[in-house]
Amino acid sequence: MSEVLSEACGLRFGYREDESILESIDFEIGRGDVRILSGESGKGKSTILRLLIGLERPLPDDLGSVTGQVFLFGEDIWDIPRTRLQELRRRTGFVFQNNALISNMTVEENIAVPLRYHTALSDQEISKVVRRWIDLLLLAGHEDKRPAHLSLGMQKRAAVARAMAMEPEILFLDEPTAGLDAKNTDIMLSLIGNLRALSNVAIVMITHDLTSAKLLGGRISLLVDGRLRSARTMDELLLSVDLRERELVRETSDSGTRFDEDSSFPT
Amino acid sequence: MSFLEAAIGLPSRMLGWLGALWFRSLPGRVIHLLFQVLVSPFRGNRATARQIGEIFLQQMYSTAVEAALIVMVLAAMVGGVTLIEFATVLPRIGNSFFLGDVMVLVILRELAPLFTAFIVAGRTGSALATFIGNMKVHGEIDALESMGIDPVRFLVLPAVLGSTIGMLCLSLLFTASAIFGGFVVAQLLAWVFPGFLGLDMDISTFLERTGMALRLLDVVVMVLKPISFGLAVALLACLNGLSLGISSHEVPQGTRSAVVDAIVVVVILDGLFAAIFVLPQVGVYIP
Repeated sequence: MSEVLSEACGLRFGYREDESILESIDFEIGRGDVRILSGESGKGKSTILRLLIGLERPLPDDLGSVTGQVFLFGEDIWDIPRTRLQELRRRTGFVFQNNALISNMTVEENIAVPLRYHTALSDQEISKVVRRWIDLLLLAGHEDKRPAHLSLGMQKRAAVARAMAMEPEILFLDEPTAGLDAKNTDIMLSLIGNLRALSNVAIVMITHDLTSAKLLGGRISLLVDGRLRSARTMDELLLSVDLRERELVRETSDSGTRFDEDSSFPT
Repeated sequence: MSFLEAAIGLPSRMLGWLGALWFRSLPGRVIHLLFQVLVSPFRGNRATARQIGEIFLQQMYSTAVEAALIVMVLAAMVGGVTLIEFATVLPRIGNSFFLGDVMVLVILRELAPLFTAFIVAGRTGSALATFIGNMKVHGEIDALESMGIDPVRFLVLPAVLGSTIGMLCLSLLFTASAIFGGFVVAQLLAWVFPGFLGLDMDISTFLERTGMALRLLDVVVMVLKPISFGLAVALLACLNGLSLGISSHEVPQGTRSAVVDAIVVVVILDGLFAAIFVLPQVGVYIP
């Protein structure tokens, strides 16, 4: 396997000591890889992504609700100073489910935020970089608008542009196609595919639409009962002996097109 | 576990509990945030200063410039009322010569910082807590963190600096407006109501007496009080904003707490200033 960029070992997460939402989570993704996380809603997929970049972590007086180890670029992120974690995060991009664009800034300003904070580029150079991402993400003509004045599809594309502005090595996408119509979903998926081809960025994407996994060519990890199943291709999952897995795949892929309920599965 | 192990472990566990209790208490959280604000300029690269500078100027503008008119009007009214009250009372108990001392004591040392802090708590504190609270609730703070941006350096530092310096400017403006405007208001009242005792002095005499009453300690208090009040208001606003969860209904609660906490803390700080700067002069202080 290629160099591991993000890794979780034996991760357990709960909001209380006696509660476990995620259990024994093992995960890793290498340079240039694509990994799709899927599963039922509200079962902790977004939490896994948040744990992977340290947005969720054990508190100083934590009594065991968050345990395990998380590595980012080979460094244990629970064991390094906050400033070091911030340095590592510069090499990652994160697109939140609700986009989380800064509401009092325009699209252009939002994309420029990490560049203005982390680099010593001049305003002109920053404008040039921002322009490139605006063009790549089909946002031309909307750069002066604030997030509230954009459609959901544009907001999501702006969020991807901001996440890509620092040319990260790994991109975390939390349901980038949620709430989009078929046309915008296709646009978003092809744009993500283009980004990958352009920069060889590793992608970890949460989605309920497993057709996207096929499009991006990634392996799928299903989250079932708080445990992350091993990563497999769509075809392997369709032939899974586990009824829960087959049901999840059926629910999260185009209904009926790839799954035949009467087909026999190996036992 | 043996008795010895338990006996050894107890103090460290108690220290742990006390530490957790301290970091959950309001003073502990405020001091922790203040510490983070103080060290944040030494983190990150120099390019950050550009982004921070803009937020600092915006915050100073909204704190000082936008509130200047209301502060000047309020200060003139407060100054006028104070002058009228004392100009009426002082001749009865002695000499109106002490009017300058009264103005320095009441306006410059007490009313100006307090009134300004209440205005800043109501305007800037509530706005700041709402702004940061909304950012927290909508995941924008997490978005900053995910980009490797320190929210304390990016948001809290410029907001606190802007609010504190804005508060100092406003307090000085309040003082000037209360002294000048107050004199004008008092003269106007004396002109409208001829029976009113009024001020038996012109503006230059009044300013001369006020100037004579001003000591170095008053200048120190005049500067230190607004800085500490502004710091408290801004820190509490940021803290209440950052402490919110993910639900929109928490935003008004955070705003309310920011204003109420700020008013209470400002009054407590005012008491501390009195204890430190006034009590030693009246012989109550026991060294």
